Amino acid sequence: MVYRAVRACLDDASLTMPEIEAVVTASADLWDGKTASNIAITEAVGAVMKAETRISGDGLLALMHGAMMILSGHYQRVLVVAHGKCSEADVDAVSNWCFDPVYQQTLGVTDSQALSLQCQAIKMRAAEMTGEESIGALVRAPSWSDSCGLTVRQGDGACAVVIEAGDDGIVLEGFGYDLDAHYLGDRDLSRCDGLARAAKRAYEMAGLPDSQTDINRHYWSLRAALQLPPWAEAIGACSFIEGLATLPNERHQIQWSGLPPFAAGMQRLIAGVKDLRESPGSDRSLIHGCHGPAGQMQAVCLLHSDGGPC
Amino acid sequence: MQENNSEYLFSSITMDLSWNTDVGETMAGFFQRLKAERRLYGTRCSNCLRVYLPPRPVCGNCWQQMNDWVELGEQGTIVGKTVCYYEILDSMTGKPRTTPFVLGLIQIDGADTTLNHFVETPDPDHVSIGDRVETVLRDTLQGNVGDIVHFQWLGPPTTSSQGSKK
Amino acid sequence: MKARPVAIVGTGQTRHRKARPDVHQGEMVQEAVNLALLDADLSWDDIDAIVLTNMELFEGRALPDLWCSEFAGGLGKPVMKVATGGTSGTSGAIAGLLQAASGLFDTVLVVGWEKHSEGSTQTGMSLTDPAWDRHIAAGAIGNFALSISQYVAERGVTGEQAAMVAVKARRNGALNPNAHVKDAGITVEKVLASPMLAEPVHLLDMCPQSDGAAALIVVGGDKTRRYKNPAWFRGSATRHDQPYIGDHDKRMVMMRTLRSAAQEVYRKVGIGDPFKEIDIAEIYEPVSYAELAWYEALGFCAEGDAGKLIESGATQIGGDLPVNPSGGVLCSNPVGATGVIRVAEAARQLHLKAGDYQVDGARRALVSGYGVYTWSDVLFFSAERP
Ligand SMILES: [Zn+2]
Repeated sequence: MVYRAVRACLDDASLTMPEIEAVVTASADLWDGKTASNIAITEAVGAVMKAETRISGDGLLALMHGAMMILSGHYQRVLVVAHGKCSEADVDAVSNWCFDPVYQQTLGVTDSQALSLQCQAIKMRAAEMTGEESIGALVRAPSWSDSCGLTVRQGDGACAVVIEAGDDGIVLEGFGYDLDAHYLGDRDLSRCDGLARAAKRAYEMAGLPDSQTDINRHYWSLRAALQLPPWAEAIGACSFIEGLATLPNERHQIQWSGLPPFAAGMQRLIAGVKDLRESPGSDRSLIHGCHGPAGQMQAVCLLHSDGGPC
Repeated sequence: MQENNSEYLFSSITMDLSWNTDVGETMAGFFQRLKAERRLYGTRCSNCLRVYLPPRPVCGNCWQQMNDWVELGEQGTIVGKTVCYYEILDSMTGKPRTTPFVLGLIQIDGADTTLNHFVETPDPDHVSIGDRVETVLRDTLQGNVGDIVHFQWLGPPTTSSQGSKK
Repeated sequence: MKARPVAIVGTGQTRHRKARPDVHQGEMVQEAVNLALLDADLSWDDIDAIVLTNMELFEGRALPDLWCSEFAGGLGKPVMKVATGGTSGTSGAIAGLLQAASGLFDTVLVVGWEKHSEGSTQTGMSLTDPAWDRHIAAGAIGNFALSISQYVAERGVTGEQAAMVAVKARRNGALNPNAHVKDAGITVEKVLASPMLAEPVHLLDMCPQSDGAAALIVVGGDKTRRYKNPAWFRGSATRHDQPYIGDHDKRMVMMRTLRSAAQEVYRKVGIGDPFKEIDIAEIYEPVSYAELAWYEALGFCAEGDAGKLIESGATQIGGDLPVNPSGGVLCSNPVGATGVIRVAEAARQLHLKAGDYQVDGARRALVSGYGVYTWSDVLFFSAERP
């Protein structure tokens, strides 16, 4: 699975494996059921006798680390690979093991419960702000009202991207990431401060004065569509109420068919790159990635295309 | 840090997780061949011609996909050896394995890589690097790695056993 | 593009022990971080980004960074966790150094930890390849012994020579308050009389399993100016390799990863004769015999001369090239932190803060990391600004 993604990526970039200087991978051991899940893919990603490092978490973090390796001047061209194979693990049971062992794990909290708490918090905030009892009356897509129905499926997948130093084509002009509080009770789950901080770092790095200047498309990694209004608010795209009424739309895309965990952010990035390649003229997109209970870890990448060939 | 051993609170958590790991196409091909023919097969890289056991889809040295299956011999040579005195649980029986037991790095005839596995022998101290061993498979094959029970020690190489080496 | 110079300006370590029942993982992390901040005269607010390293299956936590980073001051900050097996700590240190060198962050905290006492290491080690290795879970010691048997057959090193490595380590460890295993009175005879685990490896030839954490403060740009003896990062190299033990022809003799990584670093830094030009080395030796094999792979001596090198005393404190004056992995081994400890100890030597085991005139330090069967990291630091 991983080899096929890497092969497709190198073919797309017209590169051979010896031209790759270093590899950054993203995966999570317990989700794969392995001591170090990158051991199993060393050969597939071409990392034999090569510099490889593995980030535990969403692939967008690996991409950002790869970008920092290039910015450091120590490397020129880096292959980034993310994979998740959720069909092999009891994902929800595993997720219980990422809660602190003293309190939340012993309560038996899982990812889906954290997600459902988050959806409730978002609904309550909506109700408080508008006086409407039922969220169904507020949101654009009626199916949002059922919190169970909105969970986006998790699946298997691998994604690969090559990044290198340069100013042409599609440029990663800014990125930011952030880790929010672990205890669910420490966070206002109806907002996403971590994402706001991650986005702010990305805008600053890209030198964008106003947060939403010229961002034409947003590629979201969500577990539940209800996360979109508060999260769009966090990146400064619109107000919470506006978001409830107007999202998702052409500028804010959700992948309804499912995203493999840890490869999700990279999948969104590849979708964004493909669209940018087809778009004529100057264009800018925002890619979102996250992992952890109720989106504890948040990542934002800004891509800019000058419309030239890439 | 406190160096005394006063009372500490522990949160006792037992891990009870299971994974349903897909062995992958290549390993599945290995087990199917093993079950059908009672023979070990390796994969060969068409670029460097290295024969891999355990088989795998990609030669990491060449970053080349492998599609050639190579039939391997029933015997092999010990290229690394140790006698172990510490207790381990036998994954087949769940009971401690009797000590001492012998571990070997075994190069199966026809393979370029080696396997770390148990070597069954009447006298652990007489096992040496260079000695020959024979693969022992379980009677009813189940199509998993437990099918290889151990390697039986045969002794120093004789002319005939060396002749069978590919 | 010329790399931006970065340096390690602070280190902190817990007292590594068999078990630390008095603290949980997060508190242990916090202990090391606070010591590193104190050493660098910084506060939590000064940290721009954090790199964490830990092997989660040893304790059975999933993505423990989500929980523990708060104790490293990570709330609301850019945090990443690096995990690559035994090399996790050195890989995490490289990641932190490169992140600071990227110019995006001025001050990066690297912290590694492991709390072996909380979990089952045999489980942690055996979940490698579920289809293959898990069945033959003979453990790390047996696998080391297999490769050592090849090394001994090829090079003719003796049990006495290996025991001298163990003696050097435990005597050095006795000078280091953080070391888990220490024994000032240890002798070659005592090592050889300790229980045989797997021929030719005795109990005292092996590294322990420890609870512990270690932290580094990396700074770049103007932030380096206020420090008197920064440990400047000069370069690093990483080599990963094929996944099964049997993929590596005579792995301990050849060790192509470490050889190649060392050559790359020597080329980058301009080192022709490592034995003469390096002042101190902190290398990842999981077993006494490995230190001998690594001497050869790192070019400290000619092929086959490792036994003579340890006998000469040159790698002791006070010798020409002291190796692991801190006591090394044979004295403390909290896996996710072990590589960070190597880097921290090398930096402490350049900071001239290594106390009783300070190497006189330490200006150039080499670090190596080891993991899986042959994965290698090599890092180089100097007192001289690049
Ligand atoms: Zn090949």
